[in-house]
Amino acid sequence: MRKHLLVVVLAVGAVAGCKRQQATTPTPPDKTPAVAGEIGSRMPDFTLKDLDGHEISSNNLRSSVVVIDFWATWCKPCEKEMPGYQRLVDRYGSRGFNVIGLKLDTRKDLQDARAFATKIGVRYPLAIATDDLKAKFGGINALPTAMIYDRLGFLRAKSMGFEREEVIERAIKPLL
Amino acid sequence: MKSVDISLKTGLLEIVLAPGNNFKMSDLRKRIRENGFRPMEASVTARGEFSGPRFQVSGTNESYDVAKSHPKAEGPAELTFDVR
Repeated sequence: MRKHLLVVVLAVGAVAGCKRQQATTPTPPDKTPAVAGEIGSRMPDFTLKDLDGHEISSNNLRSSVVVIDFWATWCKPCEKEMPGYQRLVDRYGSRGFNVIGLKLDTRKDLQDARAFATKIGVRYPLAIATDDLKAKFGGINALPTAMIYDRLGFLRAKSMGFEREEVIERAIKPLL
Repeated sequence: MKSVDISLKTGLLEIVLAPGNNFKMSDLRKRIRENGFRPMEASVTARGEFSGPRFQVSGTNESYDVAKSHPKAEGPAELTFDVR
């Protein structure tokens, strides 16, 4: 019987620095209902437990500015990006800014998720992104993927790939 | 190629490529098969640029479909995605 081999390829370093890929300047959503995961769409309804067993509900997030960040323990750009989200929570949490990290579990973790979070200094709520939940956000094809929702629950910006803290900060500040 | 780490216990092969490489996923899969293994899904972390839904890895001819829509590409991106 053939042995199976899971492949991880890291091909970074070809380009110095990174810029945002898909982050829009916040504009008021128009009246056309948008497809899930597209700019202008509403935050989907969900209720789930975080890794510590606490409930996270979309109903409780709707009066806040929220970043929904999809990540995984095997995602190097996620590891680099997530401490920046924690700093933004520390800076703007008192003004109604929240980050929820939704972990993909499509493959075996290389390390325990909570230990991973502790190692990189992340204290905001983390939970598992089920297939159903990913579908509600329009499907997740690459990591990290971050979605920024305003206080009314509309998706105002979305980024795919590593994003610098100051770029996210510029996107959330007008919404606070 | 910068480094290769293989664990038969976890069935994980980790390859770190140097900038300017000519890496092709199809070549790697072929090599893995030739050595008696069955390549499973691959997770790629790369820098590159979006062109519509396709992600073109910088410095190579490799490109992948990673997004249903990606209308506002604005320069280099670094991301992780699955390749089957």
